[in-house]
Amino acid sequence: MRQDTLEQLSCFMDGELSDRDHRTLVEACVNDDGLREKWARYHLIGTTLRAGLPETLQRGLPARVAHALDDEPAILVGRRPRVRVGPALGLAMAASVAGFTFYKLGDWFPKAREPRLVSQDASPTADRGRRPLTEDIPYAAVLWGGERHDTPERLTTYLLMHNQYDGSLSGPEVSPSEASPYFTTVVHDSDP
Amino acid sequence: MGDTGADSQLVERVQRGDKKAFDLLVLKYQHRILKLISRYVRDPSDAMDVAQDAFLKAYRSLPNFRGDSAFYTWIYRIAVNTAKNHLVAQSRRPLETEPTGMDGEAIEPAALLKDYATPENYLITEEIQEAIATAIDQLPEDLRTAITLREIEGLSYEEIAEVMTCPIGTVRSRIFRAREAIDHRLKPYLE
Repeated sequence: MRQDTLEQLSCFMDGELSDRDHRTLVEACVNDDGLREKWARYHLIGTTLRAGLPETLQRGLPARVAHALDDEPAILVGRRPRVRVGPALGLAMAASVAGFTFYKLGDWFPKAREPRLVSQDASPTADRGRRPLTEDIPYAAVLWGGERHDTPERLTTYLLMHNQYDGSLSGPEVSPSEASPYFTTVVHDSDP
Repeated sequence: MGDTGADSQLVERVQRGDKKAFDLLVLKYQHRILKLISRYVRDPSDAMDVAQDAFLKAYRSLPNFRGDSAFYTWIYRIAVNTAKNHLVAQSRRPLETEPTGMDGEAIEPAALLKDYATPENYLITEEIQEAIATAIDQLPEDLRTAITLREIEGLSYEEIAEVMTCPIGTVRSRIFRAREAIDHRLKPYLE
């Protein structure tokens, strides 16, 4: 057995052998009984120094395992190929994901159809299309009914709970200019 | 890189269909696994069976081993689980008739183990440990320091080179020569 091969073996068991050399050595190791015995004894030295040996030294284990492995099929784990993505394709994929995410988020937050607080100081002309809550509950229910399945009863409860914001339902009669910006009205926007 | 680098190279080889590479892993870890299992399974013969079973299970599970943990950590868990399963199975096993000798006398349990836990085996274990200790004591200072820093302290070659203020190539050579000297003393006990 060549000394440099043994030195490589010693180096390999410490994980210090270069990638270039280890393949040749492992190849030699698995096929050369002398090298395998060295490998076993070098490790026996290491185990003894680090952890100590078991109470009884039983030496037949590797032979028994090797014999049992004769009946086992060889393992063949397929290598998973790495997909290399070019910059242009990567950008396109990222844009697709971002677009899809934006589209789905739009579904989750249908802002145009949500009830919203509208300042009372909006001019009557600007309020075209908006109606006071007290009059429009059925109308709002019809507007939302197809998509949100909100019942008029639920809407009524909701709106009554918030009627302190509605000048038409409660509170002293104050002009919009006096109340603004604290005086607000809850309405449904009939615009889509 | 540490000695886990050698393990991962051997594991990759087994995963590509080389059974003999697994034999190197068994040779490397046999004593540590047997010692571990012996903490759970007292009978040396049973411990041997359980160790063999653990290595076989490891081999069969190797396709799923992705190297996220060190090979030894992985096989350690397999060995502990196999030993525990063995104990559970043993506790469910009905009591066997007490074995008797040819003259009908009951055999002492300790006598049943005599084939495995012989005083000769204990002696060999002690002798091996003593031989290694003596060999290390008799090494030249630089070799003793190098092998001690590597095997006991677990330092890398680079770290040892720093400690000993010498090139990595010298560290590599000293560790190898120390192993060879110890192996020279050890070999007669294993033949």
